[in-house]
Amino acid sequence: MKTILMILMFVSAMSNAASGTDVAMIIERANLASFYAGDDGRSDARMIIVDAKDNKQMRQFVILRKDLEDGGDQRFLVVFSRPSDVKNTVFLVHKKVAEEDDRWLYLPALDLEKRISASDNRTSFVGSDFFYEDVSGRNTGYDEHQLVKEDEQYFYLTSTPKDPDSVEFAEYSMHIDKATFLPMLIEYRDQQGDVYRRVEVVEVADVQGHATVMKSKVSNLKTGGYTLLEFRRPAYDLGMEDDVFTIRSLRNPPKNWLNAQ
Amino acid sequence: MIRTGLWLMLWLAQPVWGQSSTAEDDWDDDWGDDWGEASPVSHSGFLEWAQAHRISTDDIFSDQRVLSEGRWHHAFDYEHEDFDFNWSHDVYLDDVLGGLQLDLRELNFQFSLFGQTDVVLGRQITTWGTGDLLFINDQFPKDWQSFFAGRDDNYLKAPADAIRITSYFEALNIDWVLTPTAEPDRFINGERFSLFFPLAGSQVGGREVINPVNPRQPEYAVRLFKNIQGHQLALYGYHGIEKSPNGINAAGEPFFPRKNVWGASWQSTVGAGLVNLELGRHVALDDSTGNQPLIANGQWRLLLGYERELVKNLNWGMQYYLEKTTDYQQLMDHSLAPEFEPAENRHVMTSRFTYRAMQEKLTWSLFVFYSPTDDDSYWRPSVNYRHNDQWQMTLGGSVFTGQQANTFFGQFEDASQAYVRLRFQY
Repeated sequence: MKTILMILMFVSAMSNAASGTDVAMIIERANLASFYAGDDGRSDARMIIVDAKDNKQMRQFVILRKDLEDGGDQRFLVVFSRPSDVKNTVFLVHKKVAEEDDRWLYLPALDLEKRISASDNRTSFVGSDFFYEDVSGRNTGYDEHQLVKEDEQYFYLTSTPKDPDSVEFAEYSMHIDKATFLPMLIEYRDQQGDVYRRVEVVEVADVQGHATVMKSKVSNLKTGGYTLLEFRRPAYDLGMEDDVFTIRSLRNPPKNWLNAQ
Repeated sequence: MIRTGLWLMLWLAQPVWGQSSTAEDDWDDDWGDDWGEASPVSHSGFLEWAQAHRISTDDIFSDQRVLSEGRWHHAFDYEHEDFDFNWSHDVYLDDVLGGLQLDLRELNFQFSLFGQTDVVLGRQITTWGTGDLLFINDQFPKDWQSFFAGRDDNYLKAPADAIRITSYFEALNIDWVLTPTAEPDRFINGERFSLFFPLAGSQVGGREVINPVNPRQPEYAVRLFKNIQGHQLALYGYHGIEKSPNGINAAGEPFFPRKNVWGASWQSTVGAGLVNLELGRHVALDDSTGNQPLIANGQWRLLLGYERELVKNLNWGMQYYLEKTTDYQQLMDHSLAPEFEPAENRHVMTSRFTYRAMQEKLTWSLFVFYSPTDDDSYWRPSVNYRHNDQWQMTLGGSVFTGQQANTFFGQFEDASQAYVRLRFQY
């Protein structure tokens, strides 16, 4: 009996150790699949923001990205075209994993090139239910990740923040597709264990061999509001130069990359 | 007429109220296919109704409204492979000063040359420098009348007919702006707001009391700038005019004295915040020794700023600003009204709070200027509600305090006002 218990404990310890590496690998691959496809990329994007009273707003923009290193620092350029009060507004981010990002905002009506200070990444991205972090990625080192179970289709992970005071959630769970490593469903729970926020992937397409999220939805279950995000005409590995992501692009966004490839 | 404008806005907005759909068809019907092929031509703009009323009374004016207007802003852009054409204008019915006004904001061609140079040719709005509502090296025209009257902050910048050439090199970027005929600020001239006139020792206004000789000379502005790993460094030069007519010529007419500005700035992140430092030497070319009593002296101007997010959605910025008048003894020795001259070192502190709520639909803002030297202040509170992509409403105020009639902000105590703006954008 004792022997069996010993064996069980040993096996259990082994499997924990194994899942430890598995979890790190899964999280790493999910991060790469979600935010680092190709060395660079572009896509048209459109959001519909719907509040509880069914009032709708729209945001339309083109997003350009270049990775300096897979899983590491990145450059983003976001050029808005709608609605008219944000038309030609440009957002430039030099995203850094180890320190604060450098961010600039260009406001065309004032010809104002505005350096902006780092902000809480879990605040609304341009008035939508998406957070900055949903769009550019959450640092994988900020949370403890645990593989809860797996089946044919998904890895089921639960993650808890290392610094609970820095975020509004107590934990979140992910369903990560085993074939693509894209998180297809993320649910955020509050201190009471209730799900209050949900990020769902609605449609995925193969683009140049990269599984690419084409449609996703964020729901705020507290307010009843939600945001739909749709991508169109994504393309990867275009050979974007570094100078696409410099201050010049604030006043003169690169037309050749803004247009569909 | 203004009321008609408001009804027109409501009528135009009808289709917005009419639209309805269910969540299920969001993906298809509502989005339509109109983002399929980008059109080279685009139109956008807004209709706005605005009212502002003095909080106290300025006896110089019979009408205590400072703003009562219906405004149509329209932008037309044409995008060609090799150039962009930009046109935007404002047409507004001004019930305070009277009449239908046209303000051409942009009429320019934008194109690139040699791969590394961008050109903007024509009427345009230009901004540079690191200050927040404080300007040291930005000598481009500003519209102080709009700023004080409660129009949108975007109207602080006024357009000029100019050519701008910006070249980007490995070592350095160079920005040139040539304005063939100098474009002054839209300064406080007595029409909408009264101002203190030192030589009379009293407040003047009620009509256009400052009617200066228009400048004829060109303005040259240059900026050398570089971003070194997030540290933004710039050097500035300017040869042109004082942007407000703070000189009086031999004929007794107000005019825009000639001026040079030399300066530098640095901006970078420090921890979670953002720090900026800017310095400028303003040289009064028509009063190089400071002994001309009717022409403003030169100045050193210094600015130190810090900005950060205090808590989620609440941003705070502060600035310390110094204006040091050069040849101060000469100024005082020759001044016709030394009691009304500014202090040799004029200190100003500013603070800005911005709070976004309701998923950025509601924005609370407070900007305060306070000068311990002049013992005066200027408060700009506002709240903006963005109902949807079409409708926005802004309530706000512009409040001046001061102990003396002659100080920079104090002279505008009776210009303190509260405003409301309603905007429909398309």
